[in-house]
Formats: sequence, structure tokens, C-alpha cells
Amino acid sequence: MSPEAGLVVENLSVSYAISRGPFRRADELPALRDVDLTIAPGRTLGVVGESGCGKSTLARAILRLQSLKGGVVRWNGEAISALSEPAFRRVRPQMQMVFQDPVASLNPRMRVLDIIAEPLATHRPELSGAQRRQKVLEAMERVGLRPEMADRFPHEFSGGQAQRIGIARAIVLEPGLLICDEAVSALDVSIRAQVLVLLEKLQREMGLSILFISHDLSVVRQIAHDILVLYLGRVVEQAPRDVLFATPRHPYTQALIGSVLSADPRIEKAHQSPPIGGDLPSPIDPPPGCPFHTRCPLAEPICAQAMPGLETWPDGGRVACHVANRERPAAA
Amino acid sequence: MTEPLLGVKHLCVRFSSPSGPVLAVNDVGFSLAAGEVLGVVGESGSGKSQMFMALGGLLAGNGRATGEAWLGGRNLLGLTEAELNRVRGRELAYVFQDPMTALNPYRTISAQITELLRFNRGMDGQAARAEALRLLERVRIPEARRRLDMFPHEFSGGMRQRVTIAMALSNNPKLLVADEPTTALDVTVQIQVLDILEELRREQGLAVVLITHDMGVVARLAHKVMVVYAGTIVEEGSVEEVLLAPTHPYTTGLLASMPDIRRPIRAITPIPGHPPDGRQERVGCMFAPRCFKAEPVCRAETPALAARTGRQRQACHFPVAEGEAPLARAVAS
Repeated sequence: MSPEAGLVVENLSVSYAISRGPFRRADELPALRDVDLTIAPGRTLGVVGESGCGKSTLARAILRLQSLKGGVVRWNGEAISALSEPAFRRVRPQMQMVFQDPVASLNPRMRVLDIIAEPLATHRPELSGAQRRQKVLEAMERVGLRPEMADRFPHEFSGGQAQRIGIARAIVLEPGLLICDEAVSALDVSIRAQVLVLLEKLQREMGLSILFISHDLSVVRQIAHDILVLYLGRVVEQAPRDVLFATPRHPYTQALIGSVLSADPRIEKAHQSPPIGGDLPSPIDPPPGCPFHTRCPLAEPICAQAMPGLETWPDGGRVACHVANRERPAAA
Repeated sequence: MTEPLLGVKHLCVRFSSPSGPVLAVNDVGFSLAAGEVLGVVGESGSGKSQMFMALGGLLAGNGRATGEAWLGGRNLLGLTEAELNRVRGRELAYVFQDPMTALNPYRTISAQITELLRFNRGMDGQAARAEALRLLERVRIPEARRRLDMFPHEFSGGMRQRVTIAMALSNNPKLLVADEPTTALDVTVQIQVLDILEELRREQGLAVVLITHDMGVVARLAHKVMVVYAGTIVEEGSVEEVLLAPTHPYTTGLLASMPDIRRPIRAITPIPGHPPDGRQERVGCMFAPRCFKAEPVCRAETPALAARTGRQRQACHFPVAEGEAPLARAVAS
């Protein structure tokens, strides 16, 4: 067993049981298939893809909020996906989550102090009331909340401050892994930037591994060291940030990057046509072969027949595309 | 000079609330010509949506609009409910962020579109169905004929939004108010929907008000931009002027807050603090508490919207000069 620090996910697969009608037998919707990823301490992995690609399922599967169909999740070398429930409770404080809707994720009847203290009450019952309060105030200071806010209720806070409360709750146990599922998507532009700067600061101070799930590629490019692109539950490309944005290899990655709008009207007024048309196909009936071939501008006959393998390139990138991988230099 | 299609003067929107009146829109004026797209940019609570809800008489029960809003020779703010019912849909149509709130989940797409055509244009069964099909094809719904008899849940988010655009267009309105029309859509679909709006503008001379927080959406579609903060216009000009050479510290701050995928990666600089909630006393510039250039005069005197620098107009005593690093003195949070 490798004693690798941080998060390692190998061959992760998740399926949802679905019913297609009252008289049909239950069916399977493959939400994630054979996903591999690694996040070292102090690193951020951005996960991007369209709605329904499996981004949130990935977060839930890592935290065991969703059962696995296959694969292993390791945290600091320990296979946490195989642990018994009580054994997992011992590891669980090290992995925390920040949610999309900051206001909805806070109990409106609890004071800020109690919201942030709740993980301590669950996982550190030995702490005295005074010790607990001390830890809460430290977490509040770290995220930029003033101590006098501790006795207020969530409705008294703006969206950005509410998200800071959510982050304080996530870091109060001093976790090693922070999972941010669209954590800045609901925030206004000026507030989103504040929260991104805060996450980077916390990462530096605490050595956090961050799994940053977002549909917004501009934000992911800003904050992530490595990026994983999902399409219909499969990894289609993974690469270090600068490699991915400088030389996107999978046609889906190219299309995603090409669809992001710039605030520069000289670029946008050229009205280049959208790189791809159509919508994500239904994951219930994924197309045969490469799942992207139905929308792919480069598709060839083989793409409808065989699923391309995820091949590693010399610069560390991995790509699953029959066409792109032909350009792959031979391994040194 | 041709008469503008829409002329708004001294528009104010007030809401009564248990903790006192809230001024959501404070003395706003602008005009819009046929075939023109006005981007309205601001954060939540800035009043950007209420401004345009007021035009169609769509404010909540505790809201009241004053001022003038001239569309097609009539002041929308002086119309009765019955008169407004004839204006809405025919001259002025809306598209909102979430298409599912605009569609009835229990009725087929064709039933929902033909109902509009019957009510507004007196069309009958077969003709209405043919027109519904034409409208769906107009917004590029693939296999539109087969999809006519489907229900909204059988459509993807992007297709649902195209259906609500088709419905908004069913009466050939002159002005379309699109409030965050692509915010709920994936980027690959967003660009398709924006390009449909651009096509409609070009081919039918539709005037579009595009309310959004996304500068990229504005850059792609808008000709003019209005930046709104705390219910007032803080900067206004052509899309090139405002996005490429912004002069109001709020505009420069918004742009510095936003990572841009077509530009080199640089540190983002947030605007410190958060927007006011509308109950504050309106003395001086409302942005002053968050502004890196604020001087004592900013807290005492409200700056008028006027051209001080550049060709655009800005409501700022100390506009940002070209090349001046935006938010250079901003406090990191």
C-alpha cells in the first residue's frame, strides 16, 4: 500500500438505480466510470464539465455519501472506502465540504457560533465549552468574520458572509481536504473574488488539498493547479492547469474553453460560432463508443464503436480521444 | 434623429417594508432604439431587475414605480392593468432565468404556445399549430415537429429556454427584456442561446435589454452598457467604452474581480465589503464605503451622471484615469 499523502481515487465507479416505468425492472444509470485522480496536500484539483457529468456525484462518493460500485478512495494512504462505518467516522473530520447555496446550507435557527461549533460537538466531544468557543473564534478570524458576529443568526448576513460562515464550519476541525461543490457559483462577482482569495489563503496556511468543482472554467483556471474534465461520467482529459489551457487536446475540452465568454467585446463581437452544438446526451442511454462522438467535430467511424483509452502524455496530461491521441509522442 | 423605441426618465421604484421604505431604483433614465441591445450589469439587490419589472407593471404588491417610461408613444407607468395586458407580450416581452418557472409542467409545448397565439393573435387550431412549429424552428429547436407534443420535462435546460424565447416572440414584440437568460445554462449552451438572440435582433430589429452579472454575456451581445449600483446608474456608455476603458471605480473593481479566460492569469482583486441593502440613508456616493478612491466629498455629495472623462458618462467625483491600476489600494480581505 502506498503511503501517498493527500487524496487518491482509483477506478471509481458509481451507478444510480433508476426505474423506467412501473412494470420494468430497475435499471442502472452509470454516473461515474473508472475515475482516477490525485490531490497532494496544498494542491487544488478543479473538476469541470456540464450539468449531469457527474461532478457532484464524485464529491459525494469521496465522502461516502454515495455508495461505490467499484474503485478505491484513499486518504493519506488509507483506503477509506473500505473502512467500516465507525472506523470511517474517525477519518471523516479530515474531509469537509463547502456547498453552493451559502444561506440554505446554514440552519436559520442556530447562531453563527453554534453553526460553526457543530462539527466540534460531533467529532471533538471532549472539548469544554470555552475551548470550543475559542476554536470557533479562531476559525471566524481565519475567514475574516468579526468575533461579535458569533451571536447573530444567518439571515443577518449577506451571501458572501454566509459563505464565510460555511467555510469557517468546514475548517474548524482543521481538515486536510476541502471539497468545494460550486462553492462560489451563487455569489456576486465582487464577493466571489473575495471567497477565491480566501480559499487560496486558507490553502497556504493549512496545507489543504482542495477538490474544486465548478462549471465556470474561468474560475477554475484561476484557482486550480490541475484540472479534470468529465463528460457523461468519464474522465476525458486531465492535465496541469497551464498545459490544459495552453494546449487543450480533447475536442470536448477545446469546446468548453472555446465557449467561455470574455469580457473583451473586441473578441466577442467577432461572433465566432459556438464550437459545439446540441446538449449533453441522456446518461441513461449513453452513446456507444466515445460518449462525446455525437457532438464531436472530429468524430470518425471508430469513435462510435470503441471507447478510447485514457492515455498519458509526456507532460503529465491524460487524454481519452482516438483522434487526439494519434498525436501523442512516444513515451521516452 | 429617429425617436428612440424606449425612453425612460426619472424612474424610481420604492418598496414598502416593515422596517421602512426601500428605494430600489433611484432616478434612472435611459433610452433604447430598435435593434439595439442594452446590457444592464450589477450585483444582486442592485435594482437592475426591478427597473425593468416596473416597465411591465410586474412589481411585487408592495412596490411602486414613479417617473416616465415611453414605449410606442405611451407612458407605461400611467397605464391601467387592462391596457398593460395588451402591451405585455405584444410590445414588451420577458424572458427570465429559470425557464421552468415560465412553463407549465402539465401541458405540452404546443398547447402552451398555441394558447398565446389564440389569445394575442386570434389564431385557430391548425394555423396556430403551424405558427408554433415555425416559432420553435426559429429558435433552432432540433426536430421541432416531433417535439411539439412533448412536455417541458422532456426538454433540456437549453431547449426550455429556447421555448420561452419562442413564446416571448410569438407576438413580434418590439422590446425583449431578458433577465439573466443564460445564467442557469451550461457554457456550451449559453453561447447558442445568445447567438439566437443576436440573430433575432439582426433580422427582426428587436430591441433587447440584457440584464446580467456576466460581463462576457454583455461583451458578446450588447451595444450599450449601464452599470447599476444601489439603484443608480454609476456608469453608462458603449460596450467598448465601459468594458475596455472603465472609469467608475465600481466598474473597474467588477472587472478586476473577474478572471478572464482569454487574458493572461493574474491575481484577482476583490472589491472589499459588500453592497448596501437599500435601507441606508442616501447621502453622497453609495459606493464610497467600498471605494479605493473615496475622499470626504464622496460621502457628502452625490455625484451626478455626467461625462467627466472618456466618452462615457460616470457618476463619480474622481473617475479612474486610463492606465491607473484599478483597485491598487484595495485591502485584501
